[in-house]
Amino acid sequence: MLNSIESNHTSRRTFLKASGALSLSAFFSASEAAPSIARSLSDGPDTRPNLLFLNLDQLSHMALSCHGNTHVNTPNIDRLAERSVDFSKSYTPDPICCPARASWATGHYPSETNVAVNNRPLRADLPDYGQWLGQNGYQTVHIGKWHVPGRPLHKSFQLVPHNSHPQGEYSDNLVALSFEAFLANRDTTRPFFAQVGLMNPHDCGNAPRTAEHPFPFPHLKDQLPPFPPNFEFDLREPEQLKQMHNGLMKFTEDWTEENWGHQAWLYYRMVEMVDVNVGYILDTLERSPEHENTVIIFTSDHGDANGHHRMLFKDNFYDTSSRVPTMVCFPGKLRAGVVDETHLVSGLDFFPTFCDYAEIDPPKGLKGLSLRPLLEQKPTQWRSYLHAQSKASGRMVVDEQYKFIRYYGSETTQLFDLKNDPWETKNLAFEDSHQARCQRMAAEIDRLEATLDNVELPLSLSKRS
Amino acid sequence: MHTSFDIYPSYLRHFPNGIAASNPLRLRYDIHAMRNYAYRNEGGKRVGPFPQVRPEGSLEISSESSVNGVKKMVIQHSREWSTWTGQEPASKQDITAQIHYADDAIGTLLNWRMSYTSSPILPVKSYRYDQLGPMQKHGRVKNRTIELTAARKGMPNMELGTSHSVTSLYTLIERFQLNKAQATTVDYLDDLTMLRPGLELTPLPDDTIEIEGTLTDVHGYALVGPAILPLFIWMDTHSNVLAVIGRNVAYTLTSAANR
Repeated sequence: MLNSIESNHTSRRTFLKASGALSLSAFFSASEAAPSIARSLSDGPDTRPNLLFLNLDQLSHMALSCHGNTHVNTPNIDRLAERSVDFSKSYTPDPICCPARASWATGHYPSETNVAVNNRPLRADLPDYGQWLGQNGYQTVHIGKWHVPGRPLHKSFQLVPHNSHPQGEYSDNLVALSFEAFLANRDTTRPFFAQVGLMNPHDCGNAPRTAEHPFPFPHLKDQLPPFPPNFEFDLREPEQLKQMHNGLMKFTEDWTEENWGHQAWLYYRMVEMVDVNVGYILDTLERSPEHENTVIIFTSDHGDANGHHRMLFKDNFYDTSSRVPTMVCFPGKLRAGVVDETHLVSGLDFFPTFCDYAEIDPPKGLKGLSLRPLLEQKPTQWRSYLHAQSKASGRMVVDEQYKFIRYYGSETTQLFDLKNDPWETKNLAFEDSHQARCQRMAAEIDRLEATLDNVELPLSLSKRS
Repeated sequence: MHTSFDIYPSYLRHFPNGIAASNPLRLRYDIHAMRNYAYRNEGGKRVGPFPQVRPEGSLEISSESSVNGVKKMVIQHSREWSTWTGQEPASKQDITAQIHYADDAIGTLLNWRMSYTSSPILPVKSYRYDQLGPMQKHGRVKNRTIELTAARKGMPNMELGTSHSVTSLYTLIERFQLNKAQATTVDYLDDLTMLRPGLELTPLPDDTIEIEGTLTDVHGYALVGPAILPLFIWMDTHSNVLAVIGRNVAYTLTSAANR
């Protein structure tokens, strides 16, 4: 796993690095997110690009019309895709909120951040991207959802005009308006790093309310999606996944195809709802003077099962939950309308990418890679394996064709051929002909694991013995 | 019982009378939101999930009588929430607006002036939250286009194309309260800024629910279509708009009076 990126900005980077080192010595003891002045006026205007990290919650890669889904219409995200490099093989570091978001923010795996499951506090000694960019001359602002436990927002961002964790149905409009208010009022002498977190389509979690009532619009029944093609699947799953599956099946066992279709219909309406908010944010930016100097990274913390594998929600490694959209746009500077179907991309890559565009060195030891050489078609040696974690005890590794899943404490593993079985219906780990591949991919998990700076997790979580 | 009543009936209020349609009126709603779930231990068995509903703001609508077919209203729409259920509120957003609209079946928006303020409510004194002033906008609908103009010079303006008459939550509520609304297709300007086009305003089957111990006949409409979770608008026999209920949020009428 190598990455060789030649910096074009050595002098500035060297200067900023020295300034950063000085200020970081006192970083956690005193000023927290207060920006250090990494540049002097003699450097001239700071023309480094603005960085907009626009993230959604629970948006599957497959839940967009630009990705071929005919049950949903997302003209605004599609518009962004037309202006972006759209990474097709993009996976979350962990398919649930807090671990994924802590990994975005720190560039470390959940087993390293301590946020190995929801609501465990982040390790205090890991800087996050808000702090790092703020220390290096950026105006940092957070708007919307954060959900990184143990890291209060005021310790990471200089401005937090909107701190929400409510339902997106009545808050996402306000996130978009708050971004507009930020642009209207911001300090234009410095570039900005804006983390804008929209909630929807997360709120599909009201599934228990769905089955008790028929779909209330008989004349719209033809809009209800049918069972997905992988509704029936190989039930031989690792124990941790089977437990979750059984729990879900308890309240979905009586569901009819209409109930499942109703649930999926609601999910897609939530995706369309938030698409309007994404459109408003894009319109606001595109009509502002900041537009041409702003790098946008658009993604989601994880996806949603949405009936696939007869499941709901997230917290599993199937593609519907772990594969997310990742689009990067830099108007006039990057290729537009390009789908990258080759490179394996992780949510761990955003922090180093932001640092790369900010012309600063990232903190030492980040596990992700800057996407910049891919985006700019510069020579680089990219990763051959992509890793993710789940439920503290789960590990997933993906290569150019296969996905291998292993949970500590479970005998059962999973292997899927993503090229020939994209719906992940057939677990090849039970077939003799694939044992060598399973062993090779398991060894890759072990190889990575040996390099991680893992925290001690309770045995009840990690299942290690 | 209709799906939209499954968690909110205890927040609805009983109104024995209607209000005069010809006079200026004032409506006040509490906002309740379904946040997350709770589980209970009953005899050693974990039961649930039970939705957790919290008060998270209010909406006030004050409208005046029609002059030459044009009506005017003032709204104050406040949302306030905590990061986690049970905590103190951490963030507050206010929209205030003056709206001119048509005296028609959907309260078609004509022009409006709005102010948006987002205020964090935070425990840290050094937190520089006060640097974002209120954002003011003018809006109008002209030739099938919504024009949103920032009051502050140098800020971007927007134009949004429409296919149908444009309405809003506020003007729709007023139209239903005055018994003037009709089923049709609308473009919906959510929070006077986010355009959700091509929504059906469709009638619902009549229902009966118990409100404050009184069995109440209700009739209603739903706003349904792309880019929105269905909004159910329920009225009593006096045409009082008792509730506007979404998937995770409910506006419940607490006061309806002529001014």
